[in-house]
Amino acid sequence: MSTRNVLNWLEDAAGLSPDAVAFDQPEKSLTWSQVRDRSRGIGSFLAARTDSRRPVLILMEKSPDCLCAMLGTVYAGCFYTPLDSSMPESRMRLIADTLRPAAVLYEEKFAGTAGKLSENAFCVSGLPVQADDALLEARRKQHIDNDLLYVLFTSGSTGLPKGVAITHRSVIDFAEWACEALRLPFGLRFGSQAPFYFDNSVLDIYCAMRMRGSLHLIPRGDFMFPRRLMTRLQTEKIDTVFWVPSALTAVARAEVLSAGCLPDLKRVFFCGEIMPCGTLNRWRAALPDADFVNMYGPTEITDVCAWYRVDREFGDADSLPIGFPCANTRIALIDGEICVSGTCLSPGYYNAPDKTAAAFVQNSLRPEIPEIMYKTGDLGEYNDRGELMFLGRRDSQIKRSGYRIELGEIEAALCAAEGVVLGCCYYDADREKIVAAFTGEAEIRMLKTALKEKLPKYMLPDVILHRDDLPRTGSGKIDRKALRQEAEYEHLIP
Amino acid sequence: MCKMDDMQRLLAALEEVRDDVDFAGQYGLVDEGVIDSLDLTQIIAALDDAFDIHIPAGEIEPENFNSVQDMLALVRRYQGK
Repeated sequence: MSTRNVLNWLEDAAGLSPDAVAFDQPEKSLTWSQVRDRSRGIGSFLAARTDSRRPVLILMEKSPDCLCAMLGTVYAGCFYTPLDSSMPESRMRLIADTLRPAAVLYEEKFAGTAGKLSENAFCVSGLPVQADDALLEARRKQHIDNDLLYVLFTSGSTGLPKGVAITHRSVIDFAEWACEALRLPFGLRFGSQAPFYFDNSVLDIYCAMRMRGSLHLIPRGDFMFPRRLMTRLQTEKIDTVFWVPSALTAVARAEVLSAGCLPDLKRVFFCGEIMPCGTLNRWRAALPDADFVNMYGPTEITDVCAWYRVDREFGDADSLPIGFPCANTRIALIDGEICVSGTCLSPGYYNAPDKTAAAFVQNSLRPEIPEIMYKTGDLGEYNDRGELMFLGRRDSQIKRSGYRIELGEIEAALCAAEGVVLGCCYYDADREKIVAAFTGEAEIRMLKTALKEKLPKYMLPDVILHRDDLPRTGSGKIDRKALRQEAEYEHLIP
Repeated sequence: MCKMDDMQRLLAALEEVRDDVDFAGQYGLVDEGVIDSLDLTQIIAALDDAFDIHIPAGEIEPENFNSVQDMLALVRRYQGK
């Protein structure tokens, strides 16, 4: 029988490799049978209190228990939204307003915040371990593979985060492609970097599950300290990583890579932002026999829709292709914009029909039959070899450490701050700085505090400029290009 | 330059990065998770600027950033180099 629910993979892993490590971190480790049993317990508790196909917010640190809360939600026939616990409470509330969660699952230290997000907030450590087999069975019978598995929130240009909804079917299709195309062996050991609220984690979690391997949750702090990270990879015998390029670049720059330094590491995959070839070359020199694969894709198409297996040499200044569409995925360039169709597509943004209609559109090349394409907003072209190349954005979305940021969301927060009359921002890619400018009476220090209360840290402007006026275009809009020229001319950007 | 000056300069630079942290009285900045990777990147850039030094990537170890004393010792090693 074909797989219709990701839990089939969990149950296979728990049945065939019950005592193998599934998810671990330095102070905690769970086997596949423990993950199954714990998830069934959580699922039974939730199912007794919520209808199926309802959203559940997860407010926990990245941990094996957090994964059980996510999978427990799936056992209840519901879908999960992991929250970045470090984001401001006001942004969590915006997400809760959009999602209207049936429940919040949290860990003890977030009790105060969790209670503000839903009346049904439950501390995971206090939940019963006993499963209600009949109830879980009933929930499973109702399931179809078009039911949602998760909703992940990304930055929205109007200031309201957008919830990208993804179905079981899309994740199953994606993970099956990934296991085969990336030649993942049974029992592999992932070194996980991506937070669970970031969709790169989808490959980590579901490929580890499908291949009955293990997912080592590398402590976030290790990524600040390349030597510590190297030691972790060595002692944990990590054989596969799927990281954002900035994490790989930090290691490459620290000059801790040398030939033979990571004998177990066989697969290095990356996605989420442009991979600099200089970084790639340093990693390839240290791991000449490893498989390097560049991937591309926005959250809306289930993590990855194009991939390129590094098969030749590149100069440090070359651009790396994003290559070819994944199996069962079609990519069309329409006016240079990368447009995607296939099973990988999200059905839309949760509780946001207008935003959905704007991005998920009828394929204009096939008016005869409904066929939805997702317009990525990314620009692409084919090189001489027929490989797809990523060229940049057509709007004001930027990427920082793999995070999608809509400059509009920062501007919305800026303009809403007390004492700001007009505000705008631009991204200085050369200096890797977000520059914000405003007019009005606001003090910069107060403004910084106000922004911190609304925006996640990775969205905070690096430079805030107070201006008497903001330059305008002929049509009266704020002229960001001219603002940038002024700032450069006056040497305002460090 | 006297000792106090460097410490004051360091604290001023750190305050620019995180004005909500009492750097002078806090130990275990890294180990206790007070500063994260974004902070660390900014702190290194701020130290480089404030003291006109270059801290090489190989020195980016937790024990060099756990307290202002640790950071000051790090800065001193690179001053005048």
